[in-house]
Amino acid sequence: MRTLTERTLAEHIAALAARAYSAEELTRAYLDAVVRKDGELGAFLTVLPERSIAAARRIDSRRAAGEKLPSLAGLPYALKDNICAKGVRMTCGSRFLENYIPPYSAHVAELLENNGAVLLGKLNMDEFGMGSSSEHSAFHPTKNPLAPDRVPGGSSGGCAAAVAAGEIPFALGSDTGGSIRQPAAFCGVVGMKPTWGAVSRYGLTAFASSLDQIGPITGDVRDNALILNAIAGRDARDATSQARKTPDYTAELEKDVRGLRLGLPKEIFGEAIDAEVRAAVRNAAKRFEKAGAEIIEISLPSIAYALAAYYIISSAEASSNLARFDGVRYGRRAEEYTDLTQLYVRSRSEGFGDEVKRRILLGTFVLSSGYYDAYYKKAQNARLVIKKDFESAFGVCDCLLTPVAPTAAFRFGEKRDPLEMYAGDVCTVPAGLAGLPALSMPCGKTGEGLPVGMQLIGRRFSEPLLYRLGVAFEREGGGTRENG
Amino acid sequence: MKTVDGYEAVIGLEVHVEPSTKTKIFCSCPTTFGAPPNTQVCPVCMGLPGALPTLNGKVVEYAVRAGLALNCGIARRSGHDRKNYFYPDLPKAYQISQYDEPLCAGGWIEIETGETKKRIGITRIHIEEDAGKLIHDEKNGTLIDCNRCGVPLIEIVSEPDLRSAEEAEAYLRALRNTLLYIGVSDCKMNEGSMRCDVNLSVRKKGETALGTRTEMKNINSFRFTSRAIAYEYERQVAALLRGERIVQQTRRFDPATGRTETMRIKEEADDYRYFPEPDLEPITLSDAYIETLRGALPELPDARERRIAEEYGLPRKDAALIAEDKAAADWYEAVAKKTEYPRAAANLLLGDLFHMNTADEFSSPIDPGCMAALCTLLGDGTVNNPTAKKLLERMYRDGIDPVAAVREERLSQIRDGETLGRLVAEAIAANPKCASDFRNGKTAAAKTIVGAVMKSTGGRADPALTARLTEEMLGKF
Amino acid sequence: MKITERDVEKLARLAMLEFDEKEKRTLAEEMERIIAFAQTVAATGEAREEPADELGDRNVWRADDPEIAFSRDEMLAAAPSSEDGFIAVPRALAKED
Repeated sequence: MRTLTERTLAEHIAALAARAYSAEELTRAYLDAVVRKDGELGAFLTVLPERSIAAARRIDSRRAAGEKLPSLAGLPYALKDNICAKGVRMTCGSRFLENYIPPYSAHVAELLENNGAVLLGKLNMDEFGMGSSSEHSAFHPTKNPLAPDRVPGGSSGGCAAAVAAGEIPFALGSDTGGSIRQPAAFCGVVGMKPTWGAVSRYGLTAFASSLDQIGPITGDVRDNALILNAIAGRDARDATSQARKTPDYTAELEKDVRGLRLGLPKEIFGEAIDAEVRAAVRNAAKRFEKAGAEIIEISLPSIAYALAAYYIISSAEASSNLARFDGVRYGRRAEEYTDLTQLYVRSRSEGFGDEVKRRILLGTFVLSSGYYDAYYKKAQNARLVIKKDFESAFGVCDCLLTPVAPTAAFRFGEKRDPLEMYAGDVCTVPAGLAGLPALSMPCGKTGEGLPVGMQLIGRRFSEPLLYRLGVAFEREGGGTRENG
Repeated sequence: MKTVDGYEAVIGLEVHVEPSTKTKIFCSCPTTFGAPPNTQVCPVCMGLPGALPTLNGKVVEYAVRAGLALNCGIARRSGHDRKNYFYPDLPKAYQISQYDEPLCAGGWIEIETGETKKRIGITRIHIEEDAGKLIHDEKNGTLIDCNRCGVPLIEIVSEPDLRSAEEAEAYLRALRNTLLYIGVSDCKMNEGSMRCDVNLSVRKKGETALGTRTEMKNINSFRFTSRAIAYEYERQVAALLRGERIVQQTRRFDPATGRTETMRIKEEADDYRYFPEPDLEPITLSDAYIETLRGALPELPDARERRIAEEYGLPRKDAALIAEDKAAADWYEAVAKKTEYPRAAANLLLGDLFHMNTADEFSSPIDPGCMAALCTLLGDGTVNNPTAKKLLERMYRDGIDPVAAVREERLSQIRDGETLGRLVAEAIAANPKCASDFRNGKTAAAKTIVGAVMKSTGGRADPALTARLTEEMLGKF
Repeated sequence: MKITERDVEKLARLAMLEFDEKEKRTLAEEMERIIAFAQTVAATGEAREEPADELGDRNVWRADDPEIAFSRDEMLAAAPSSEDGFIAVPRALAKED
């Protein structure tokens, strides 16, 4: 018999409606888990026991009064600490915002609030989203619940670890170059990076605006679809959020996958990828074949440039997005300065960590006069070429299947060199650059028992198809935390 | 402007106007002038983490209308760009502007200086956000008010076609008038809703290459613009004549001394690292959208001038003077429609009211209906010209009702031949020398008689009739 | 291409950051390697137009309706230093633009 915190969202929703347990009981169960585990795990930066229990109680009273409750009523969750909730400290994993209290809530936070979900706290991350291991959090690293000497991935490491450890049933993370998908893979949970524009970015501290997306991290695929239902859709406050009518992401989950064509890009199955990872993903391909899908080998030649293009574009946009952190209107202001320039320079230099500074310098460089054409403009061109490659690929297949990362979770301190860390993003940045939806879910384990994730990439707004494939995979006996 | 022989000034103006929209360009904060500091701000214009810009469609509309009125081509597709720099009045540390792809380009406006008409080219028009206001405090600090952060600006850049302070002033007036006519901005330089940056270089007459230019920013009146240009021209020419080179720089105009001064010269030029704004979609305009706006443009100054001349029977020159100022033209037409003597209205407006009004812009406290009544009194001969002018002054100062005043104070003109004849005879009798002077050929003596009659009637005698009767009667002697 | 410590200093000035000598040396070296890696984009061919799939929503414009959604207190709550409703900083030198 599984404990309360091992159940899925779908199960909780049914149980709450049937009054098998109350929202308060459920919230306390998860808070309990946090108290027990997080001292070691370090997934949370802020925990909200009083606020969450009060919210849970309000849901219970409304239910008792016979009110018809919204779909996520009583479900506890947590937000990556770069998504703001009014009145709740938001640090973005940075000393610069160590004591910052936002005066407004992100669109997605408002949606979840209106849906009755219960915010339990804010989750650890690499500072301002820059990193792939959560080692760049200014506060403390997060441990991988499946292997405490290894990283949970990043930048949404806290999200993936918390869900994997049963501290919360779902979290919202953010993905720019793989920051939802890679930690999900490292921790053996499910993460979706939606189509760029599917989910409002209002209230998400911008890292690279043309790449950032908010997405759910959950224990299984169905739960993930449930949450995307609640957060996707046009927001008047984000001009890049698309007005398309949001589908019911759970509508196609029961459909089979017979006849669907899955493309495996040969460039991503080369030597740069660990042999065990390649094997796990090829096995996954076989499983899809058993379920009736067709496996095709395809080519994405411009993938070779994706990593470089990503780092140029993301650093450029980040250097601009992070310039607002100047110590004038909010955030850390240095204690000692003799003039305005020093106020800026000291506040920023004291407040930002090394990786952030490195990326700001890189971004400043590629935008600076004399280099803009050679780097930034060329990178945007490369991005268009990549988009076209994907378009051609979708001419012959419905969806791409790739690894999520070249390796499973690595050890703390293993990747000290920045370029080595960046190389880990090679499988995830292409979908980010192209703005395409990408689902990361467990597909196997390494010899040491570490989870390996696979990535399904579809056309824009094809999340229902990706979820359908994911559920089919789980049905075939794969994809859950236990089975891997 | 005083010029040095052989050297011409080459001037381009960058004018920023605040369109009169109710909200800022990228957020819904109000734009009302004069609110207490930081009471019209939100996460977007304060640059809080996670905030995103949303474009105010009215700003696009106003900018396109300005472009159409200024004969520009309108871009079917244009984009926003970030201009990155640090300064305390810029919360995001970047300004969202338009760099590569402005909304409008390649237009012109006609100006008139003296008797000469000239076309000044308009290079481009784009939209961007304003920065906040800084107050430099005695305690050696700076105070920041973000109310103005994000207020929309339409920037109009002229070709360097201007050659003198007079032309620059004519350009600013024409530009302002056009914008007032189409209702895009209230263009109040003293309130900052219209600001002017001057780019000036000099060169030997006949040369085609441009000299090194200097820039003077944020000049906030027509007069200061003129004076700054005049001073800077002289300064540059004098420097060139001494064999010095002009240093490219920004200079500050000091209205108190009438001189321009060097601002701090930085060793490194600012690198703004422009790149396309990823948080906003490009602006794509259809032909239908543009044609709808073009069709809805109100009458522009030239067209109005022609119509006023025709409709009210005014000489073109008078119509031009009236149409030059939208407020004056509006007021004039309100008056002219109510009287059968629109020419009288024009004469009083141009001859008297324009002088009574000392501000940059025309305004009149006189109700158009009252004014029309005065014009009718003058036009149908009830009062004479001098009386009319006196009444006008009292209407302007004290708001009197002319019809009531004429009735109560018996100001109507004396036109009755018998009465006037008697008065003339009396005046001649009282001034016998005039009679003999007149007989001796000094026809100007008649004026003395006329003057005496005017005086004795308190200015109410019909001057023309009085003069005729005087000449007749003097002639009989 | 070579990245020197002076290059790092120049970038740091633009980005309002400061580094000590050791940091500058390390950064110069790291940036040189990262930028050399970034050069690979130079090899991509020319893409021509936007792929057809890209047509997002056109002209997402906001109506000109004013709204005051936040009080001054809320907006200044996080300000490190404020005075009479203004945000306070040390004296700013004149802006050139």
